[in-house]
Amino acid sequence: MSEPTLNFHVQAGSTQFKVPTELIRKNFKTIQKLIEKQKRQAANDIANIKKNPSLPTAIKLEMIRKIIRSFEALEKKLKASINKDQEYRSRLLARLENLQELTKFTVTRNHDQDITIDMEDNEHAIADDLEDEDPKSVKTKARKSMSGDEDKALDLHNPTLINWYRDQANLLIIDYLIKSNVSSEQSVGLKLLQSLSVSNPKYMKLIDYDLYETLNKVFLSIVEHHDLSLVIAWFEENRTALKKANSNIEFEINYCKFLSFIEEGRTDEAIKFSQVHLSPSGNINNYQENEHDSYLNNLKKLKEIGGLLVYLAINEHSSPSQPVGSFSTSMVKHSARFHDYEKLLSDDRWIFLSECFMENFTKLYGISRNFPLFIYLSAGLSSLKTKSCYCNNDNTIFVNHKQPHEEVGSLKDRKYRGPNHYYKRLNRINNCPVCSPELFKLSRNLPYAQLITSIFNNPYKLPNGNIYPIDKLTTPSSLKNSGSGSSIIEDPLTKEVFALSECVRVYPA
Amino acid sequence: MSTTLLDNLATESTSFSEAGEKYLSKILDDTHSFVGELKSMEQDLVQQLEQESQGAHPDPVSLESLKNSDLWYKQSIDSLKGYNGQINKFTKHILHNSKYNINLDGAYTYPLNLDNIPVEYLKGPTPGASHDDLTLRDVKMENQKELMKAIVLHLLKIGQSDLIKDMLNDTTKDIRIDEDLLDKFQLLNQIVDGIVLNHDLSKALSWFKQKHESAGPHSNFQEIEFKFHILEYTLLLNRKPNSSTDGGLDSALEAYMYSKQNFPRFFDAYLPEISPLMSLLLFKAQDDVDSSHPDDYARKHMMSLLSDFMIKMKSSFNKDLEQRPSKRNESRFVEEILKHFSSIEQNQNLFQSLSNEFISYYCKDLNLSNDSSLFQSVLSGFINLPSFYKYNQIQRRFSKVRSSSMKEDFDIDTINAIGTSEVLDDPKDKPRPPSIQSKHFNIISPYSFDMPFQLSDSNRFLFDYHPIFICPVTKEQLIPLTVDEVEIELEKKAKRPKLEVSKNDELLKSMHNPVVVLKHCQHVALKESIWQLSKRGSEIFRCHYCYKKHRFSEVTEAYFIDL
Repeated sequence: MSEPTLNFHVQAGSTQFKVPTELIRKNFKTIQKLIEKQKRQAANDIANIKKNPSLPTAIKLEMIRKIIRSFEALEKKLKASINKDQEYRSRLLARLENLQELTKFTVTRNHDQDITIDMEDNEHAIADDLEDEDPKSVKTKARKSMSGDEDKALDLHNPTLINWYRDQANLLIIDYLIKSNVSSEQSVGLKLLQSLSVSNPKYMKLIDYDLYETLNKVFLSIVEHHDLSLVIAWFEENRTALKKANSNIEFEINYCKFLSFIEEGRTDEAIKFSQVHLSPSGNINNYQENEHDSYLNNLKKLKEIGGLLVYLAINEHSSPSQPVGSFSTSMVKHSARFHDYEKLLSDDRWIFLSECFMENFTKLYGISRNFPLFIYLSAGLSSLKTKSCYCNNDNTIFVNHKQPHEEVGSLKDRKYRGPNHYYKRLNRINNCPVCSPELFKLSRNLPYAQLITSIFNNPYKLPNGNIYPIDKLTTPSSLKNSGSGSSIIEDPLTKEVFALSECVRVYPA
Repeated sequence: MSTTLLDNLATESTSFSEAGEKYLSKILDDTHSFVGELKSMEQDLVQQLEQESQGAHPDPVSLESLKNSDLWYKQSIDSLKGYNGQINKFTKHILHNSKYNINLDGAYTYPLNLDNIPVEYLKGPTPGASHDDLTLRDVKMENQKELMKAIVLHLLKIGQSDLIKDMLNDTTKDIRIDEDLLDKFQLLNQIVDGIVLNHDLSKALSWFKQKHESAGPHSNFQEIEFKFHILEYTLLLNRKPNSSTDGGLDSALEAYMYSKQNFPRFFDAYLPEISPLMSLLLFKAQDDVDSSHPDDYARKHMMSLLSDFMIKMKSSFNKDLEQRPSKRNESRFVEEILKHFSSIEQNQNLFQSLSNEFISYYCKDLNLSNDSSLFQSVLSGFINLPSFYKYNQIQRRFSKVRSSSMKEDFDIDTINAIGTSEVLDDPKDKPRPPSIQSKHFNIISPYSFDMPFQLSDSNRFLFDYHPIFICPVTKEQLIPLTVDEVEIELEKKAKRPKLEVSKNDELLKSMHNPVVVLKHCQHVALKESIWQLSKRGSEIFRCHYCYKKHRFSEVTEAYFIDL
């Protein structure tokens, strides 16, 4: 339907500009604060000097020196911040350069221009295309709608372009490894990044590894360690931006903290904490107009809290020493609501908060919610998945996949004509990625690509039903020199020998 | 117009970056100069103090320039405003510009059964999870492991084997790699580093040599080996005379010796490619002579003659090139070398590509596929993503306009819900109304789950892995025999989970639907289609292409076998 074009890559790549810009903005605020603070302090100090013109010189000198020291300290901090700014800006430029590389590989095509990106203008044409099976009419329609669009296609025959894609693929893998890291040691993703940047230093500028590492660390601190300190620090750091985006994460953090107090049995503290930090969330006046959903959500949770305290009371009473509780207690204990409270105190809340954090984080920096590797992999696997694919256990290096050596049955057995057998028996290698055992399993739930007939050149059917590309069939060596006409060929699979005259050209399309 | 998006992005990014440089360094300069003023004031005060200590009464130092602190502040704020303006401009023109806004999430049409968060599945399931949750969890756990394996294999194939040990310690402990293979990949790592980092081909060349010794002349390697030899020859020829460690052996002579030793094997196949390379020897020799006779005129004359000759040689070579389609790849390589002859060391791409090609041969030698499967798939993703994105956009529009009941089979949620056994059992029974909360997830797609749109075919050449046959009658894709009949029977008896059995039932059915060749015209169709065309074998039917009459008994089953 669509081909990869320069514009699409630019559009898909523009996400990479969001994070550095956001980091620049944040750093900018730091600089601004530094200056404001310095101004206030300097104004104070200067006023002090001016107030008392008759101060002894020594004291004046001391006061001036103090101002100098504070300005010099400012200079140092400014330099550090400006270095950061430079680093982020260099990322922007490196990403720009990376996209500009692509202009070396563009081709202008006069036909086949079924490339349309601008959805507004072409909605109808494309919508028709989808329902239209005839590829020709698809092209004409699309071309009509193309008129203003002069996007450039990429020359996929160019090996340098393929190398460019290799780098991008590696970046996706690094991105995945950093974000999905579960180990507490340095993540493999960072190690890979460092290792790859030895031969290609631009890697370091093309991925916001530092930010993704933070994302990973905070996430794990919530889910794995049930520790709120990192997420609170992150929230404080980005408070303004999050408020602006109507984030509800502050409530979720406080709610989680409250439940932790309860869990630890510090009920009094929990109640005090909720009075200060949670109660205001029950008041609709504390919300913006477009935060109504958050209000309802939070109110619901707040209402449950009261019940939670009752639940606690019941739970405490029914200790093992009192196996038979009162009738009403056991009634309550078996009610659905009671289980809800149990759930409130389960690990679910950490999972919920971590997801909320992930949501807020990705939104704040404009990065995709799904790991980009998954997005590209899913599209790639779906478009490569054919009904001829099978789990090719020969194409792997992992021990548990190697199958015991198979007994050779009759060569003429029908099953050997399946690709799962014939590649091996013909000593050929199946290069299909979807057939590799790992990706075969990953693509189990994906659809099959719609393809068109594509059979090797000169397909000839042998009398036994096998169709081969005739050019690649050889005369068996034993017969090579014997016959004069030597129009004899051997089926490489069954080892049967046939006269060429018995074989017929077939026409699959 | 054609590259507007990129050009615009370039302009905006550059002016953004320049603004940052300009305004921030201005702040720093202003601060610095204010500090300077303060310091001179400090000096004055020190002097004043000295004079006072000597009993003098100098005029008090003017503290007027303290006022400049306001100026410093104002200037700094102005600079900040200037930069802020640029940041906002960039945000508005690029980041918030709908022309640039492609949300990748919007192209995730068919989600993988993988979580988008760091998950350690080893920890055991959450209590109270439903059966579906558990199944899905198992699948996700398995998939995560498979993805990790695919990444490991990818890293091995790109020559990053050093990291593997870390990875396997880190994550899933039950992934084991054949030790022999791991050693071989370590060697590959060294060879690749040699080629890419140091432009040192010796390790690769000795690998070829070793292969020759163990397996006899390997015709499989001829093409790539030839490339390595001519590149090594060129590198030798280009080597600076002083850098030579062989007792000042002339680089041309060295290259000549190398060629004498290594080229003869390739004469038969590559004479047209070798000859222009050999004539490069002349250039080199002349070049050296020139430097020892600094006669300017003669030198210039000679050089112009030579470059003339070089151009002629290249063009005649290019002519030959067109006549040798079977050796196109190697010829291209020679062409590339001729083009960049004297600056070959700067052409990093050439080394990168050659190293990739070497990897592909090396893997072939290990009986593995010639590229990283993960990369191949992601490449296909890069190339085809626009279609998925576009499809999703249209879906979104459809679902806004139409009620969900009308166009069910277009709905993504519904598609994701296909694949449960009920659907398999009765394909006509359309899936339940779409619902995002639907617990029905897809574990194994049935063969009937086709992507609802066709991809551009012009890139197919990159991914032509299987012979594909689409029945001209039913438009169904041929499903070759890929599961053994015996296995299916066994599994059926063992009463494996319903899902897999249904999948196999389907397979079994497909196995009875091979292609058939019509006797009189040799056209091909699926057996099932012909069965239907012939009214279950009872009637004479006409070929779907040429209308020749056939009986059902006049068709024969056939199997495509790729060589």
